Amino acid sequence: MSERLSPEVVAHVAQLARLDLTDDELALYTGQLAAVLEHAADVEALDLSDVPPTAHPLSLVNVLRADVVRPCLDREEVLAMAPAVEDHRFRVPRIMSEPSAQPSSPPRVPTSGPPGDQNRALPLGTDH
Amino acid sequence: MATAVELAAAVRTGTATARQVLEEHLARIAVRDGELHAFNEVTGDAARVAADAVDARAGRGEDPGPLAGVPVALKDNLCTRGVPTTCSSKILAGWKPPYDATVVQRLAAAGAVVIGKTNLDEFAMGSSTENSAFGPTRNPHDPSRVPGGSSGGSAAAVAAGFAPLALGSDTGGSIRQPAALCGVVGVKPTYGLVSRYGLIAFASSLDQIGPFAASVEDAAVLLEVIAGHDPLDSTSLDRPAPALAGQLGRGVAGLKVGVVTELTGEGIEPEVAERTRQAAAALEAAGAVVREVSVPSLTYSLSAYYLIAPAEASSNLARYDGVRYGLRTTGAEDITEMYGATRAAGFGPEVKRRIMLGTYALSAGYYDAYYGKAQKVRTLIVRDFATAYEQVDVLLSPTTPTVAFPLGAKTADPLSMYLNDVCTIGSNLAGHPAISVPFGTGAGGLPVGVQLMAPALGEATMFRAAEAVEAAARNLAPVEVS
Repeated sequence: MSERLSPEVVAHVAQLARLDLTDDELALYTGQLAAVLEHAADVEALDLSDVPPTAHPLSLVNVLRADVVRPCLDREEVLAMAPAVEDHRFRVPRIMSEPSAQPSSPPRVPTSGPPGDQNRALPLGTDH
Repeated sequence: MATAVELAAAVRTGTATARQVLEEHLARIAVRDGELHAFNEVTGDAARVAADAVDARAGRGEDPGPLAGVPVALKDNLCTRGVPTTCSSKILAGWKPPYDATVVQRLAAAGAVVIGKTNLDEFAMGSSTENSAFGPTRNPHDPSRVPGGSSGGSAAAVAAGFAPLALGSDTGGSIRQPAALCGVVGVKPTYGLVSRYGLIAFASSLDQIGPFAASVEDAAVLLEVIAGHDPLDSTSLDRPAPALAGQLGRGVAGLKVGVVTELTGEGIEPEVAERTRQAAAALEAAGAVVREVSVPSLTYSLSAYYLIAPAEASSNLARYDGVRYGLRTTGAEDITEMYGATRAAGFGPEVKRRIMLGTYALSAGYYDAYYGKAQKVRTLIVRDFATAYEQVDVLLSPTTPTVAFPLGAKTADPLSMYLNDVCTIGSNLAGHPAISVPFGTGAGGLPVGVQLMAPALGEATMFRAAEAVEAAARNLAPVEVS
């Protein structure tokens, strides 16, 4: 069992991945991830200090095209598939947290919308 | 049953109509897909419109294309405009893509008729098609067993005669492994040969779309149709696609074949190992020069793969956040809460496991030990394959360690499921082509597949060897293992 893989570490990883886990899932994944990492110990043990990494099977180069307008996805067709839309934009729940009531809290970062605006729209892109 | 090549010839010459061909396949689906669940959705109405259009072109004296009127099943991670594309995940349920994948456009241009979208392990993560949010697919040879995965629906559809051809995607064996378990041909092409535009990404440096077919020739024809440069995929190889079907029928005299030492011993079921030896003997009898070749670093390929693929997946799947498409849970106070709750509700257990594994492997403090090391192992594998291909033209191994296993047999132990991919993932890590060809049966009379691998863009040679194996398979006796 990997000593690094405590439930606390797994909970932190879940938070990084924006994945809410139940306590049961946390326990299950802690054990299962440890088993996979244990199998990967053969790789971890190799001395590969002189070996360069391979990130991709091809030698990737930037692929550019002429900067000309060409057909793209239909905006209404795209927005029709979104969970919530407002003014031709994706609508999402509040992005900034409510300010703390304590006087010692740091100054609130200004936001563009009125307080209590829970579903500010996120711009889809710039209009032509 | 007629091959795709025979069906297309019949439609082009007017001895059959695309509509007749389609209705025969829809009738087979109606009889048996309730039991097998190869399809997430059968697109019968759209297929009838497409088939009638092919017939109209043929009637006007136009050439409707090399796959005229041939029904093709598509893995449900290939985008089809206006037709639900789910990746067998709740997080994409109901989503209709606003565009077609490049392979879908190329199929239409070749006269093929898309007959439906096939089931898969959620986001192509799995080796049994049991990780589908819509329930498992069953193996047509024994419905109590899995079809393999992740492209299990596509493999089962071809094996059951629901479609002569299908497309899947292969990240670590997801075409070849189910092809082997269902007794059909499955091909993972050279990385970059087939455009990934419109393939919903799992692990971008490993994913490749490829054919399922009932014969090597059909697979070659389908690969020719979908291969070739696409400006919409920046990793698409900018060179002419190799001619394949026309290269068949040349035999294997003088071809150098290497049997991979590391993939023929421990962990391989005796019947499967015996079939692989018989395939080597058959190639030798057909004039090939067969020897054993070592690819030592393949020993580490499974570990490297299960760090690299989840790492890439954890990044690719970050886009499922409830903002632009698919599921969003309601009631969240702010966007961070919405992300976590939506992803928890939308992803199944295996996808969550891989997101966790990949996020861990990429996180500060562990990156060098896991992801960094795995990338270096990938270099070793590329080097070892290069050394092997200095000695031989193609490599031979089993496709899978075992024949099809019962549903539920490996779901409780993810690592035992991952071991299914031990023979196939090396080709993905190196970006090389590989094919699984049915070669008799093993334990329980279930299909066995043998794998032929080749260096990058070595498809033509690989198909020649596959054709010889396919010919030898017609004369096989039941396997006996003492």
